[in-house]
Amino acid sequence: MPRPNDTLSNFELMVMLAVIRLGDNAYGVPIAEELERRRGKLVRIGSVYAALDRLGAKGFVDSELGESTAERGGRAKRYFRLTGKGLGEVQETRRTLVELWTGLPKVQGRKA
Amino acid sequence: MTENQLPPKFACWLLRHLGSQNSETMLGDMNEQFVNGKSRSWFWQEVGVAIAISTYSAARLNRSSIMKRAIVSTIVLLGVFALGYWTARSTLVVHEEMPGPGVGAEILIKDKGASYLVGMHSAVLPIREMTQGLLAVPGVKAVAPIVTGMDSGFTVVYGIDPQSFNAVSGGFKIVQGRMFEKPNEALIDEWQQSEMKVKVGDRVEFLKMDFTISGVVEQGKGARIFIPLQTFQEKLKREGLAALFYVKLNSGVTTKQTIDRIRAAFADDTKEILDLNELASLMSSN
Repeated sequence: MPRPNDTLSNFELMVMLAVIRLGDNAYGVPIAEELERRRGKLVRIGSVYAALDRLGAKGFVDSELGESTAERGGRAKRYFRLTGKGLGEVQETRRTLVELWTGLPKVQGRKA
Repeated sequence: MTENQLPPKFACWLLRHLGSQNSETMLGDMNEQFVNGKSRSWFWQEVGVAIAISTYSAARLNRSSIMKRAIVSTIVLLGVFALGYWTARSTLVVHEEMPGPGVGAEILIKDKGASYLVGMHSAVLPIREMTQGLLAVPGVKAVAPIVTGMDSGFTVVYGIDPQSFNAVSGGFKIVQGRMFEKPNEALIDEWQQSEMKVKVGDRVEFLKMDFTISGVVEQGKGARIFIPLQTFQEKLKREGLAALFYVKLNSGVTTKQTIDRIRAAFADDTKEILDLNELASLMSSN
């Protein structure tokens, strides 16, 4: 059984999936935009980095500095990618969710 | 590059000194979005949230320094939100840009997570589905999707579709020139014209885009500057989406009853449906 601090919150899972979707372009701005577009809700950059910090501490993502540009005020981008452990966690979470959803009675309204 | 085209220096300083180890990277991301059209108020909000999250995270990891950090951060955040409140009230009260009465709509619909303040909404609502759904509700006469933003100086800009906006508002009273017809044309109201000292045909910059002023209108339609909806959507990369919807009702229909019908028609809890007369009284009370 995984340790409690290795479990994923909904938002952390979404951040990891966004990182996978973005591939080589997974840095703060596109991650926040991807989440905002998919969720249909405002996503703050601070929230994204807080989640990435936690994921980094759990060993699910790592990062490296990229190029700096003028439009960033000369500051470097930080690109994120999933580690093998992170990818395994995403697959395990997906498997569990699929199992839980399978055969579930149709959910209607606000009550199951 | 002018001072207004740079992000707020003090906000950068605060995040650098009170934020997490990622502050410089975050500032780079915020800078990138600011250069691509986000407002100064957006920048301040991002910094405020980043500092709050950083303080909370530090509290969980290092209790010994938390009191000092929390006190400083609380003072700073109070200052940031007081500044935001003051600028918002300046925008709403001094510039008379409160949504509602002038626009001619009875109801405003926005995403639940978006601010009440005009010019501070994120465009996330799908126009086609929302418009079709709203027009099918008994009592709804017209619907106007709007994209909002703030130009430098906290001036509210609306991205509008003239046909639907006129159907809700009854149309602009154009005092000079004409309605915009091209993607890079804009309308301004008389107050904005007086502030900018410009005339019809002049080239101006709004939201870091170049526009030609096609007309000047009487003030009181919710914003100072009006640009084509599609132009604004493309700028924000929000094609097909709106930040809010103004809804005009048929005469004799009660607002409360129609709001209940709209809630029933959109059986989800992600949208906030506001009675604009109630909102007007809320905004104008001290």
